[in-house]
Amino acid sequence: MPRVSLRLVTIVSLVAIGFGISIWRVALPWWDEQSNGKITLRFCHWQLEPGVRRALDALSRDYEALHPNVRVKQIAIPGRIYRQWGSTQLVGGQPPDLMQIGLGISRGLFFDDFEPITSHVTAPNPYNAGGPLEGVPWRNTFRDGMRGAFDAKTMECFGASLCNNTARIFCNRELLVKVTGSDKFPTTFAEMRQLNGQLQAYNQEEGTALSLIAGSRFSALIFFRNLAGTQTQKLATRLNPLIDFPIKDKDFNLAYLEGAWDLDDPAIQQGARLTSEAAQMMSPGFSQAEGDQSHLRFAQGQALLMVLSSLQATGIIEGSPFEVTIHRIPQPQLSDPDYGPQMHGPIAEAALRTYGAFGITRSSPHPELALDFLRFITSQESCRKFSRLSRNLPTVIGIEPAEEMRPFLPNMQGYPTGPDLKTSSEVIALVEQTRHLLAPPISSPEQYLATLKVGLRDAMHTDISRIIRGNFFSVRLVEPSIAANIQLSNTQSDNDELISKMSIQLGAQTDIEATAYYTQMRLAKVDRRNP
Amino acid sequence: MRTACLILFSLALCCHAFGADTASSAPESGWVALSRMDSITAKENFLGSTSTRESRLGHALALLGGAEKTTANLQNCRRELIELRDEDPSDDYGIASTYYLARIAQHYDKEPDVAAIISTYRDLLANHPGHPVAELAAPKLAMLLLYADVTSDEQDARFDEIEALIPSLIHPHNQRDTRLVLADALLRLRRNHERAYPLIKYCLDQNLILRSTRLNQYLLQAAEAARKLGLRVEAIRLYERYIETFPHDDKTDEVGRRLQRLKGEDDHA
Repeated sequence: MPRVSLRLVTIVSLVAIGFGISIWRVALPWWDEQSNGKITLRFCHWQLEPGVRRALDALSRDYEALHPNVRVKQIAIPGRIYRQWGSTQLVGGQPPDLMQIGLGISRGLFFDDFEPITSHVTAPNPYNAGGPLEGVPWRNTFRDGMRGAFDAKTMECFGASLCNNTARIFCNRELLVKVTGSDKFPTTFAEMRQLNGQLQAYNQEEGTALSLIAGSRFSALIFFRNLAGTQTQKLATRLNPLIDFPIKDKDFNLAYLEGAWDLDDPAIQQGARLTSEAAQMMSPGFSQAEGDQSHLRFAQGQALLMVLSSLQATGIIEGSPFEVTIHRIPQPQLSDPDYGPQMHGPIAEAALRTYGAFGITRSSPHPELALDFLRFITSQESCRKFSRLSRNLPTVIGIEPAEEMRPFLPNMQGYPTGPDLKTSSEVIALVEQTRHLLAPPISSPEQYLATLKVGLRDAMHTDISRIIRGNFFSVRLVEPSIAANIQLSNTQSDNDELISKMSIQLGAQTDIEATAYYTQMRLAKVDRRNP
Repeated sequence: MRTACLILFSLALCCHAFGADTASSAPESGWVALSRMDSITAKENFLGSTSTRESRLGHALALLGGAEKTTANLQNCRRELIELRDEDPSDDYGIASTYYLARIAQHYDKEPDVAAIISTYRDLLANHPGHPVAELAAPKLAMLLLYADVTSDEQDARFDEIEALIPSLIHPHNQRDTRLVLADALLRLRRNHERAYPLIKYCLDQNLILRSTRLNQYLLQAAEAARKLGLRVEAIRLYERYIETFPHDDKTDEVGRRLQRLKGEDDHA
């Protein structure tokens, strides 16, 4: 009898066990459904923050308690691979019942993948029965009227969301006291600069190498955009004499191609200087660092501050062995001799808006149940619980945010932000490639702007052309839907909802189309001038 | 015999009614699916009853819904619309076919014959005033005429043509969209607040602007135009309406300051 080595037996056994576990994991929901009559409802998202996952898990268990025949499974996928993972699931025909829409999922073509729930959002949410929102249309129970879940082209609603965010600075209070002798947090950029100076002195005295801000690629994006937007307020307002408010990003770029401003403009020069100063406050290598690396640096006490969105609050607060305080990003003031002259005022934040709605997938075997679960998690009671556990600001009306969450509330005092260069793909790529010139050891705004100038015109032209093509695509996409609504309205002239939807669709299509023609005309003039 | 005839007649009537009901519900569900941009379901629904002109129009538009996926869909859509138009250019489906053929030429042809499209839109508006589809040509005609590279005199004539067209429009959305396309062009190309302001004001007064982002933009535009034209009372009213409608916008704080300044000027006067 041939001898079988123990090693081979172990390997084969391990493979068999692994295979068995996989089969068991995959077959369990099916088995539950078949043998116990239990239905498994799956939902996926990219919110890896522990507070959000915990809160969604708690709501899932609450739902299971109410519906013993249902098992709810939460699938959290990292944002980096969400699009690939989600697309594979959708193409494979077996996606979760509910998917968080965004990060490339749907890409504007909701109807291919998701069921609209428009007809349901005007009816009350049954899970609000017995409470103050009883009888209130589901849509009106949201602070933003579910605007974040509506597709602007079709005016169809594709889900409901519990997520919103505001950009804030998280501070290690103990370290702040150690460095400055006080827990007073800077409220202006000048004070922030002063704090950085104090930290450098502390580093020299103590022989430490602490950074002011634990930086990452993502946090740099938030931080720099927040600051640079202050420097273009006046320039962008001058470019928009029709309403005297800052011009929008696309028109800002178009104005550059038309020669209405250039990189020698004091607003752009100062914006680059401000960003360079801010880059010097970040930890070394920030532009290559991921969020978890910067979080680790902050949690280990190697940096005093961290810039992130409110959704990540629980992860930061719970993962840090010290008291964390939350603040608005300090901005230059009008009195600032360097940066004040280009400003109209500190940036006013817009009202909270939901994002990343959970949409019901077309191939869900349980669309009714998915809708019911969606209603459950967005009821006032569930949202209160979600908000408490995740430290996310409540998206449903009538819920007062907890005291510790008040720093996240948007501050609407001030003036709208000006545009910055990083708004569309080609220009973003160019800025990203060039931005290292603003950070140490080079830290040269002049070199940065000179390098940027070489490719900026072509990048802007490509982006604007792409925007025009995208606008015309939207116009074509919605044409059959509008045609159908006109046809339906001939026989349903008393259907206010239909008439209103058609009117909004037509208005949106006309706006997009007319703006695309206007932009095309301006770009053609630019091309004639600079062949 | 008489009773038997009556029964047979009743049965025939029922069958006819049932048949008619089925026939009318198939296009209806097709339109509902198409309204939700589900062109695959819509195509199936319309295919079930392609004997009527309505279903054939629906089927053609469902093909248009899939035009981004295959060129065959676009070709078949065009062929079906041409047939519908040529059979009877004056009924609802012939008019709709003419309009959508022009839209297809405008947005799918590599080098659209703009003059021919403009001519089709003008004909639709002149020959079928008040028709719900023909009238859609008004804002489309406006944008094609106004955002063209022409001489200043020609542009003036085009502004006048669109302005003259407005009183003939009967559907509120077409009245609104044509006015707003004209107003935007007057502001963007001529900085002409005087002529643009009444056009926007009409839409605001009649509550025709339903989409909140659009309402935000035009309330502000109208308020600023009124201020620049020295219409202080109207500017104040519009600023107040803006603040009331958009209390949480990032522009609201500044609008409040402008309102106070205007009120201060009033007190001073």
